[in-house]
Amino acid sequence: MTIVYRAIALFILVFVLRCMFREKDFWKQVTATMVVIPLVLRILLIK
Amino acid sequence: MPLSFLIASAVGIFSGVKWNIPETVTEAINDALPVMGILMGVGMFIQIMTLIGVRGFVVVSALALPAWLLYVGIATSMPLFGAVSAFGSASVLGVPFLLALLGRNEILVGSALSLIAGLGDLMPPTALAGIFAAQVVGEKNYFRVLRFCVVPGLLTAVWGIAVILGAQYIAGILY
Repeated sequence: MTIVYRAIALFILVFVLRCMFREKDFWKQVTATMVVIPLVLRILLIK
Repeated sequence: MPLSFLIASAVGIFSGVKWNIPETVTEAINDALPVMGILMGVGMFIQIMTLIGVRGFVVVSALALPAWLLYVGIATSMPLFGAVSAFGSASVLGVPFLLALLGRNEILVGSALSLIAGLGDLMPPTALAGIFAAQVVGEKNYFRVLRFCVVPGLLTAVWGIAVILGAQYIAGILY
């Protein structure tokens, strides 16, 4: 079940990164960066 | 729960209508990013509150209220704390309030507290319910949406408190 959880987190992370690199507005890029942090931590199962 | 949402969304692929999946998912994530950012900020805020002891201080202050003020405290502090996060309000204040009201029917009291905590989603600046509703109807200023929620929100708070006060009586009818 953990692998499914990590796969879902990875799926969302990929699309958040895609949004981040496509975004032109600096502050929206900062928001995306903030969202990336917990997703990466969850994929690595770091609490 | 995320898996059930993902499977339900995946059903759309087989709907018969051709659409660009990566582009649609990117657009959906892009729309949700501001809200995810707010939730990130709220999460950090609650963690820092816990770390420096403010969370405990808020809980102790709420529980130190005199008995007659407890209900007023519930009706005001829980929705107000929802300005940070309704989920935070439920976990930070909801549990101590439930413990303070032990002896009544805990299921009914817990349900009523959940109802009141839900009002926090109408509290600016987070106001997730207002922001989502404004997005759906294409309204830029979500305060216009919130204005219509003031009276129903007050009625909901009064109803929640009434259920807490009459929990024993209601439980007697239900069980």
